[in-house]
Amino acid sequence: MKKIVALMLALMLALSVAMAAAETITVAFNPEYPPFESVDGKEYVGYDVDLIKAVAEKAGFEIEFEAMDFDAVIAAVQTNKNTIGVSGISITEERKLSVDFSDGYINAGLIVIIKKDSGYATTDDLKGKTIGVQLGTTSDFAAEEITGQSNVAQYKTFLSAIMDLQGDKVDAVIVDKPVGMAILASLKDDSLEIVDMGLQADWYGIEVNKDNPELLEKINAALKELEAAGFYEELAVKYFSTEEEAKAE
Amino acid sequence: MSIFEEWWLPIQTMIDNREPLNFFQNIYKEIYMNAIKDDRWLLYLDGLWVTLQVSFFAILAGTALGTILAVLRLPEVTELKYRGTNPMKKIGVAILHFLSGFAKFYIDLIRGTPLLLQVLIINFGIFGSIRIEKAIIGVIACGLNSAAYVAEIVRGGIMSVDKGQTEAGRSLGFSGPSTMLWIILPQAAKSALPSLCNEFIALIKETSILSYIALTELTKAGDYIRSRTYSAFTPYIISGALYLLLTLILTKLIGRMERRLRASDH
Repeated sequence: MKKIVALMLALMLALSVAMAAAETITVAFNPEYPPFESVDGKEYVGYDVDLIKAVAEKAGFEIEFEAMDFDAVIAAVQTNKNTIGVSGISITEERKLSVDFSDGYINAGLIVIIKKDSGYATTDDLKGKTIGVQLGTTSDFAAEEITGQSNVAQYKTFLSAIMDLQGDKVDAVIVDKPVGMAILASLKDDSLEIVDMGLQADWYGIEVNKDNPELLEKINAALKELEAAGFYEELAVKYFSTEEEAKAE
Repeated sequence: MSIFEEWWLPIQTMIDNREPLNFFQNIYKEIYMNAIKDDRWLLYLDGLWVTLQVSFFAILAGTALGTILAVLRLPEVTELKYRGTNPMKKIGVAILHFLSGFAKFYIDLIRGTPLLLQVLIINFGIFGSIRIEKAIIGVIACGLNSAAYVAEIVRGGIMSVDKGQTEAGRSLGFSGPSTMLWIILPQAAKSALPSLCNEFIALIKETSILSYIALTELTKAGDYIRSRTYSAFTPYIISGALYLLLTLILTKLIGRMERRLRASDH
């Protein structure tokens, strides 16, 4: 018995030493947002996952992924120096008050998903209608401007909003363009359609804690290298059905 | 300009200049951002109102349905035998047995699965293609869930009433059902009340799960404000305080009711 305890203690010690040795950055994200991040079997996959893996390799730090709700990501980054947020997060002025952002790496654009027979074509048609969004996203802010706060149905996951659109509980869903494209392609639901209402979108960036400018610098340097090497286009080809959709440039 | 904004302006200037705030300035910043700015405190009250309404109707529905389930699960029903030849009565007993079996199945099913899943299944499955108010879905989901717990509490309450009470009722000429309704249930309610209070409190707090189907109740109100102010936890503290207020008031009311009922103890 004593031997086992001693062994356990030794093991724990060894583990803690090993953990302290490598600098590990926690990647906070919400893997329910294909094609940017999702779960495939036991693996996390997607544009953001590939990107941050490449960034970590270039900048020389280890990463571990931690899945959470989207609205929890920014708090996780705020409260922990070694946590970064990589979750299709648009760079906005309000968010910049709480966290630092890397350079933008993609501007995805916002689109509106509606039921075909509803025939909504402009944002004016959506005034006073119920719009489903994922809580705390730029789609959420856009929807609030169109239809007013009390008419926006904010979900924990974007997929729930789509399901309530299918179930007629909301009239429209606003989401990032590649995400909307991907979900419609996999749902194969002919009653839904995508409408571009010219909504203004922001660039996606990586969230870094305000007290860790060294890390931010490393990430930005890595992003620059990757961009120069044509990695963004590579990812766009891999994850978006056509290169045009990505508007990576 | 209100007094709150007058207090805020110097802090805003400090934040713009990236000067560090002291402890009290930080607290005021959190309160101002999460409750005062843009009249955000109204959002908590709206959320509180939704939570209150949903809880109230869910408790009513849950108690009514739960009591029916409890009665169906009583030995008087499960062990009911009819040896006569009247076919109508035979069918009646068979139906009662079926309902009793269903009640047991229902209670096991509901108690054995998480409320969150029940809410999601009811919203996206059962009412998947029906346009219906989210608050009503909330009342249905929480009411159905609560009924299973209430059933067991009420059953315990009924079992705790002395058998002599039933015998007394029957010998006074009450029928079986009216003995239950007028003599047993009122006494059962008295002993079940503390456990029921527990269940009601749990139910009020569990309505927070309804934020998953985009109902703007109290937890969601906090979530919403947090997604606008990026405060790590202050909105949750405000929401939490309001839940506490709600449950404390309920506890007080039920405590008063218990004292009233005790007045008949001699």
